[in-house]
Amino acid sequence: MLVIRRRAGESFCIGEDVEVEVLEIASSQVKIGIRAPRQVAVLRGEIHLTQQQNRAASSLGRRTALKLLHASFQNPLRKPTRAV
Amino acid sequence: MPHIVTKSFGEFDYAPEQILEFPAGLPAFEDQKAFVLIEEASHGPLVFLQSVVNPKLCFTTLPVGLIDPHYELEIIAEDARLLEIGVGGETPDHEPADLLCLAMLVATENCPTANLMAPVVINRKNRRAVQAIRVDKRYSHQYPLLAAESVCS
Repeated sequence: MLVIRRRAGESFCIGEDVEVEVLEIASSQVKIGIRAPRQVAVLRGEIHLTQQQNRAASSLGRRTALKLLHASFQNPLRKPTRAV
Repeated sequence: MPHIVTKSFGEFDYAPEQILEFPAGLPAFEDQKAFVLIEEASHGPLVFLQSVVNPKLCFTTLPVGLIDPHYELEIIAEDARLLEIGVGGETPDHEPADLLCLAMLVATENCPTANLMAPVVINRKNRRAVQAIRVDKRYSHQYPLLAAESVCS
């Protein structure tokens, strides 16, 4: 991973079209501005990760799910189970 | 009674009041705003989240409490607003029992994993639902359901 040190008001570029600027630095949060073409999707990291997981989850069929679950019951679950 | 021809369960009848409303859809499926829950005895504790509009779209989930009985739910203000619940403050206007919390399952390299980073949270009182994505790194998006020493085939 490339690591860059920047102060508030300073920026860096990704490729030709994307500029990322540090707008404001507070004690536990950084405010960041992104200039990018409309066709470049800018997403918070956790949302991007959730999209990927959801796409993978949507392709899990019932049969595979049952098989996996069966395996889970044959092997110990990582934590003890309890009714909800 | 309205029904949907599902991918895995054939024709499924549901009452309109069973429909869960996802005002924001689900990440990667933002246009899908109406789902029903399908539970069948033959499928153990699995809960299926079936789209009402798209028969092919069905997520397999487990109640989060079955995966981690000590799971601590965290809902950001925006999601709380969509669920129409108050969080934080001195008098939250909901009981934990009002919320149903489901983790989506994925086969990660043939091993079952659950997304504990972004559980689906359903407000039983008004049937509104969101996928409540956590901003902390406390829980994994690929939490293994099997013990580490188990080998997946």
